Amino acid sequence: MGRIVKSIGLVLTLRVSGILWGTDTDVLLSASTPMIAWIAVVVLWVEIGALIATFVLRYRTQRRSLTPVLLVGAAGLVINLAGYIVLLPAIAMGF
Amino acid sequence: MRLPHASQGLVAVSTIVGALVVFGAFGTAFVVQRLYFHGPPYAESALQVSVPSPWTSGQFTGMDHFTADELTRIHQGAQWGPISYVSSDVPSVRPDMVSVNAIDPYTWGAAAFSWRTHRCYLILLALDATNPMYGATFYGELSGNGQCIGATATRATVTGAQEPLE
Repeated sequence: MGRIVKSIGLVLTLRVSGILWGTDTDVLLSASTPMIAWIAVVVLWVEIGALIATFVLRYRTQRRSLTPVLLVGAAGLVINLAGYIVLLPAIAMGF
Repeated sequence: MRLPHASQGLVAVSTIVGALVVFGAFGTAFVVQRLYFHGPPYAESALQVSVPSPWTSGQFTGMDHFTADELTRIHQGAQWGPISYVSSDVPSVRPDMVSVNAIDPYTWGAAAFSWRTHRCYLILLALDATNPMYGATFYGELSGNGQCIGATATRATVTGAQEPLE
């Protein structure tokens, strides 16, 4: 897979992941116990931390491949998608 | 000026890390703002959760016993937050103070004053006397000049089908 394709894939993955995170967080903030939204903040920083660690490791080992970053981004996307699916009933009801 | 290859990499990774940290900060600020700096409560949402259900175990019990005292006793709308219920002649002066007008078994009204708009918002539940399974919720608003009392919420005065913007 070409470097440009991977770069575009990474940007799209992070963009979709961000949108899903925003939707999940919005629903959690509308819950009867909105403090539960702090879980979304923790998840956000874990995902960001993993991405930063991968980028830094990639730089320190002088590797050029984007695959590890893409995999970490995809893992974040899966986590946010899982949250979206769990919250889908509330999203459908307009909360 | 052309940077050496290693410096280019450092600049790139620093930019990416910076962008990710900024994104995280925005996300955290979004949650903090919604949790702690959401502004005053909405009078209309307090009114919405104040409307009691006249049905108990499938039996129609009427609306007229849902006075301020009764709503206080049953903690009506407690999931929204603490709400003070006062009788229909006592003016509401804040969103979480609802002036109640339990008119008859089929009609129940209330008023609450908004700190956001400095207007008085009204709600009225009007049920069909022949079949109380059916009915409608109506909305109204008053300017901030008059007293925001539940007594103003009647079938004649509260007729809007849409909730006004607060």
